[in-house]
Amino acid sequence: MGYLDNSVVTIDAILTKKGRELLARNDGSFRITQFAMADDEVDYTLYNPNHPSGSAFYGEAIENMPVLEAFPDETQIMKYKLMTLPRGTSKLPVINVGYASISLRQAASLVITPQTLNYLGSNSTFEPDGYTVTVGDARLLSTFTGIGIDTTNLNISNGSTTTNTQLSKTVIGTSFTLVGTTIDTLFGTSLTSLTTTITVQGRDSGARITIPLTVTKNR
Amino acid sequence: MSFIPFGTDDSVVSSEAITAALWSSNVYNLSSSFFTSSTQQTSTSGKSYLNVYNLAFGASGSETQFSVAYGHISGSGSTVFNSSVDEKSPTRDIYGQYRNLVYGDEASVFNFGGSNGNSRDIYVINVNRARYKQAIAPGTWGLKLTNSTASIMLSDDSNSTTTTTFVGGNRVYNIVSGSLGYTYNTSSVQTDSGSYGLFFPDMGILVLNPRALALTYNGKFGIGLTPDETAATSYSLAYNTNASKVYNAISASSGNFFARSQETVSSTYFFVNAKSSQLNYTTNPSIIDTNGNVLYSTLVNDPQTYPTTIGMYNDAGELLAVAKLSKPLAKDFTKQLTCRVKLEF
Repeated sequence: MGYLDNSVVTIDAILTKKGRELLARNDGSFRITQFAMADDEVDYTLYNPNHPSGSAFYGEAIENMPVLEAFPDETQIMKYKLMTLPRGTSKLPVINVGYASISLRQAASLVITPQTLNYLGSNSTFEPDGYTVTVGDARLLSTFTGIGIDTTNLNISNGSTTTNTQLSKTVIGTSFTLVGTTIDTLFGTSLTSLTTTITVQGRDSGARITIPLTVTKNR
Repeated sequence: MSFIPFGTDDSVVSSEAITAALWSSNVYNLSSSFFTSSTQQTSTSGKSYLNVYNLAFGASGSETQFSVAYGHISGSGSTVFNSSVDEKSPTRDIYGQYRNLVYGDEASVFNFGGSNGNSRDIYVINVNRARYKQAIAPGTWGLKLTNSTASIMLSDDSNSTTTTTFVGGNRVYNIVSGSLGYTYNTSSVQTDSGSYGLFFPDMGILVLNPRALALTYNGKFGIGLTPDETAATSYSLAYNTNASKVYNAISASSGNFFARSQETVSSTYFFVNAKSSQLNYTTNPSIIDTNGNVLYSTLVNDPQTYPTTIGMYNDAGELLAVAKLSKPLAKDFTKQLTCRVKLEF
């Protein structure tokens, strides 16, 4: 008869850049209320359902994979979240924005309305709780707003942008308006365009897509 | 759903006292590693204090460890700032500065105990804030001073006393001949001129008593370190001679200055629990084909995920903190996943 290992695993967390920003604001927006898990670095093609040693070894290669340290950039981590779906789900939700990439000129606007494929028994649907959209560098957009979801209790300013700092910005909604920055100095003397990423995530499904966003200088 | 809300009992705040070696690079004893900078010594600040470094000034990893200063109630021992104004000199600044910090009263005189403990001058060792963090841990430090052939090992009396004394709201211990918080004899006031000094752990300051150190060993128990008290108005000391005397006593061969820092770190522990029915699917694109179909039929009815990362979010879905597991953990409909995430502030 052996002893069961009853030790508690403790892991250390680090603040993200966004976490530090909100902590510095001291306005109550730094309030951890929920968690999610992700498997960013896992390559599921390593899963081997034909392993000669049997089903207990299907995930052997994945379980022995070394794990990278955490990145403080909130746009580069927690990309592939785990989600809760009914058992037997054979098609997983996928976000469709309608664009493989977005290109805007300065001051030009674009409205995006994401949809989720393969979710809630439907080929294509709008998620009831909407979507979170994050722009990697908020300076590239003079307007970045989300509408369609009541965010009164979410302690989020759904329309403002952070200027002069290369920080991400997240808004919530079902429809999102993007307007390219009008600030010429962001381009410096030689650049003709600036690029960042837009990440769209379903608040119900957890499905996620990241596409490039380019803002082109007018002159 | 990807997000799982924390319940009211899923987090707890805890504070822990953490001690560490005091000096840069986690060095406990700054033995024979004392350096000064001629640039700093000959600058304006050099007239008030002398910075001591762990490595030669300018070398990679060289940082200020502590500063040494001399203060005199009348400004003796240094040149006045303006020759037409008596007594207003760097040493007067130093004495007034520390008197205000300790007593909060411009009429006070430093007192080191006993019947003859008032002192018109002081040596000050001020440890750099980044070194001591929140406090120098009482009972962990020792400082060896050597002058000619006489030497003495100093510490505080925190382990020899049962009560903690406060002066002007500052926690204070006597500096005694001893080691690691214990005196070598029964008294904390060990010379006719009072104790060897006062130790203020929360300010990272050691105030040494020049009267006690000036005594010879036999008469009694000093090291014969006499300050230059030449009147400020009639003497022109280019730089801080008395601070240099203390520095030389510290950096003499076989010099030792060891201590530990102390800080209280507040942490929040979050208890993360994914139930058996939760988080068994992933948005990882490597598990599906271009149409969203799961690649392996065995994963349809018996889905399996391998979480490596835990993200902590606010209500708005903004990622505030992130933690990594040491290895991918298998999660399926037969397993719960529970772990404790520590977030330090």
